[in-house]
Amino acid sequence: MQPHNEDLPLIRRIRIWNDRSAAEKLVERHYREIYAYTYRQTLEKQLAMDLTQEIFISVLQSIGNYEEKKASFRTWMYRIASCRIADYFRSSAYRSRKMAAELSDESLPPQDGSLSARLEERDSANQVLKEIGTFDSTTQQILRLKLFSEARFPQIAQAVEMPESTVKSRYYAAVKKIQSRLEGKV
Amino acid sequence: MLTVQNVTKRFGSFTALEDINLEFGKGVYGLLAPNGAGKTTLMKMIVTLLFPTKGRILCDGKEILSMGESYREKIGYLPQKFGYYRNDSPRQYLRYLGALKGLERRAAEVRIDGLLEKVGLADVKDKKMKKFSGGMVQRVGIAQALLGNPEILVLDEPTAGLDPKERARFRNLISEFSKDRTVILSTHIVSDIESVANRIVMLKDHSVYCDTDCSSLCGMMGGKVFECSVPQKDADSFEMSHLVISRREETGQTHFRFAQDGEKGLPPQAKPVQPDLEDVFLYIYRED
Amino acid sequence: MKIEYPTPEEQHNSIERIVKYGLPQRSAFAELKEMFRSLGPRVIFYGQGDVMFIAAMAVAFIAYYLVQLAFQPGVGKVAPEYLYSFLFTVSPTMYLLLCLLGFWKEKLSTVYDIKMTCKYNVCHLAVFRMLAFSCANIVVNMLTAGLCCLLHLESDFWRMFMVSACGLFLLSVLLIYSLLFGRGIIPPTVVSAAWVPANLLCNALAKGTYWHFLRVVPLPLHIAVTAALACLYIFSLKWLFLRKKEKVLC
Repeated sequence: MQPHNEDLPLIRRIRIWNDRSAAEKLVERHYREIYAYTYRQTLEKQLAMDLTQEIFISVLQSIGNYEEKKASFRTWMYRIASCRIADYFRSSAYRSRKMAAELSDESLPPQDGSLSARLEERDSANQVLKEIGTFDSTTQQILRLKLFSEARFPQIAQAVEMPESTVKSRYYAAVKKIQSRLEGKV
Repeated sequence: MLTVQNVTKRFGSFTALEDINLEFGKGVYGLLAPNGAGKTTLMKMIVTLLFPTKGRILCDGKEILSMGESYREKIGYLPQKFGYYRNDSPRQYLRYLGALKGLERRAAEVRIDGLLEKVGLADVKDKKMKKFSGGMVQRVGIAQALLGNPEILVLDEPTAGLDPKERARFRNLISEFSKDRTVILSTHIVSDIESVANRIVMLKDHSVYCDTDCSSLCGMMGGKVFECSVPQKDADSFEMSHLVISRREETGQTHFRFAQDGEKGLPPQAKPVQPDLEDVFLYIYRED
Repeated sequence: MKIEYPTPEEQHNSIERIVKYGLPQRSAFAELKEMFRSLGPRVIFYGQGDVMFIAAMAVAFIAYYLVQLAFQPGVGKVAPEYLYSFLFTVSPTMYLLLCLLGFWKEKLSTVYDIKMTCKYNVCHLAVFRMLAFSCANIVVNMLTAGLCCLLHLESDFWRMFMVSACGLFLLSVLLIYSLLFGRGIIPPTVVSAAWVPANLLCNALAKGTYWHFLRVVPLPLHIAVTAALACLYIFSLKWLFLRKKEKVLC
């Protein structure tokens, strides 16, 4: 995990001078991390690459709005990523793929165990992802950040601008709901 | 899809809006609230005239404040106190705004003529606006908001100053326009949105009171709205002891429509009636 | 779960595309040029006619004053310190009036809200105007310096012109900083209102240094300072153009 302060000089150079090489360096530092975050939620390489690209384009385009005092660059970047991913799941592109996938779905074997265990296995991960998409945007952000990135609750609280206790209770309530829904499907 | 996420707006120590969460998809959304409840503030934030103190507004997953001009190209806005240049004709004014909105000159010209036709100002399109009535000026405002063919239309009290015929024309215009677009309009005139809006958003005490469709909203008041006639001499005392929605004088009798929770103390001649949006509005905002 | 990462080549190509589309593809000046091309001067300066008239009147008044000064009976030549400090203080007048009155006119206009939600909003128009007014002011400064020479008030044309330009760019930088870092229209108004009193104060209190700078400092140094201020001004204009700020003029 790279330290936060190394991002700041690059960000300043991009903001003031539109420095291409600074932009390239900044993206390179975080590319794999964001790609992994996207991949764990989409489970497809090309789609993950496309979304990662869009996310970083957004990051560069809105770098003028980034406020160093409010949050670390990574937190800010992850927020942009989560919003974009949540929006993808809402889009028509996703819905048409989902329908095509459902038509060819075979009945899946019952799964026990924690949410993280389900996420390790591709097929059950899809089920979890579907469930996540049913929540409101803020809860989705919390779920995505906790399950798919290495963010801890204090950082998530910073990203969604809510108190940590609220974030925790929302997270656990949502997880409980997902678990019961998935168990109910058996 | 326009998403308002955890938005709070403070002006110094005054909180105008607290923790607003809303989603706007395609269709017509009616924003109902009494004056000063934050309607205009919310609308101004949606069109980037104001920035949220906390939270963010997203358009298709991207923050509108980062999108810059690509977001402004998608919006059309009619503010509450709509301004214009008095010495301009509607055509000149719309040409000016069309240029600022980045429309190509010839395409704008065609669109301007079409819009002025639709709002019924085709015969005065080259007359100076200082001679216009309030209703005519308002119609120019509506035309201006539609000029860029926006995906998101935000109208703050668009029917103010319009007579019933003009309001009917406006409703038709909005219905036609809203297919495959997001229209957010705020008004006090409940009848304007009753027929047009797919969803109603009500603000109370600086936050969202409810966000639902018209029939569910009216359903909330089911069994709470009644009508009865009372002799004129008892009318005033009746009005003071009941939550009156409307009052109509007839020969010797005063006809009341009122709201009440439960059957206790109901006058014997009262009949329950189907609640409408006006009833809901007056009932919910009775303390304001 | 095993993550299928892109190959280094795929990643590199993607990053290239990201930087290509993520950074602004055109410089601020290319954008300003494009704006001028699609809007035209009529739209950009719309509604500013009366402001320009007032500024023109002010310039005429200054010219008149200079002529008066030249034909003052008996006194003979005007003290050069006085003339230079006059030029320094008064040179940005046209620019100041055009900008400040222009801002106030926009702010008070009822069309302001609608214009702010357009693709080319009031900020873009204001930046273009400020740039245009700076150029116009430089021309006026040249003419003023020429007039002074013509009236035999002073013979050093270039020095007079440099002093005027210095005054102009110093005020421009202060004005633009007040827009960038202040909130609303009060900061630029305060800066504009304070310009003349501040100069008068310098005249009264720091006569030595003030006049020394204007009169004695060698021309190349003057040029360097003015050029630096001009660069700072242009740079800040670009910054203002690209920056998204809430309620810039309100």
